[in-house]
Amino acid sequence: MTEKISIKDALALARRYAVAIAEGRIEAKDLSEMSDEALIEFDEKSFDKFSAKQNEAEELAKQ
Amino acid sequence: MKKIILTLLLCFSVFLTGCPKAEKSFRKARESSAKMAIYGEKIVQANIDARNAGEISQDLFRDLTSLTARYRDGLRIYREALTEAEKLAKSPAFDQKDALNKLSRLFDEQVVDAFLALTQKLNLISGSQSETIKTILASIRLTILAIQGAFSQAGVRLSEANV
Repeated sequence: MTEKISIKDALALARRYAVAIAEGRIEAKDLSEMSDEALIEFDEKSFDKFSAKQNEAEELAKQ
Repeated sequence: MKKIILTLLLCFSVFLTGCPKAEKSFRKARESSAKMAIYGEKIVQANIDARNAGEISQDLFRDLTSLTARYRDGLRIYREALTEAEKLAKSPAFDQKDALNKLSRLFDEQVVDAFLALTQKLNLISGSQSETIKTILASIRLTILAIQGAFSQAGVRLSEANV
């Protein structure tokens, strides 16, 4: 595993992570208003989406 | 990892009681789970976009993907434990504080640590070289602290994980 990251790479990632977190906050802001059943369903779907995206990344990582 | 879940279940089965306070706390834990899944997907997409735009090398992309895999696995463990705890909380007697303490510790060990490993990749450069990076890392840490704060409000003793 690589130990160091260049400043250029770090800045590129940091900008993208900031956008990712901001978008995540927008998606997550209505959670407290959901019913218990809706929240559980939303949680499951969110994890499934995350898992699918991770699988996509792992396929790309093999290239 | 399965030992952690079994240990949780054994502890939960000693005293079980259903009460509104427990349900509210588990609801907060469920909201935390959903938030971390949302952030996880967004971070992975950000890594993919950076890789496809040529902003990061394939080697770095592989490292990051390995870290997000660990984060996903940790979140899965946390969610399984939470689902079991929610079922057990409906039974006659329940040690709420103990159950929530264990969930909080599991959250820190399985989810937060993995998430921080991702952000620490950005922290390997000298801290004085980029205020932008420090600001962004601070906002990510604040998000994690807010989630841990939800456990704290339920009367849970937080782990000593250094966020």
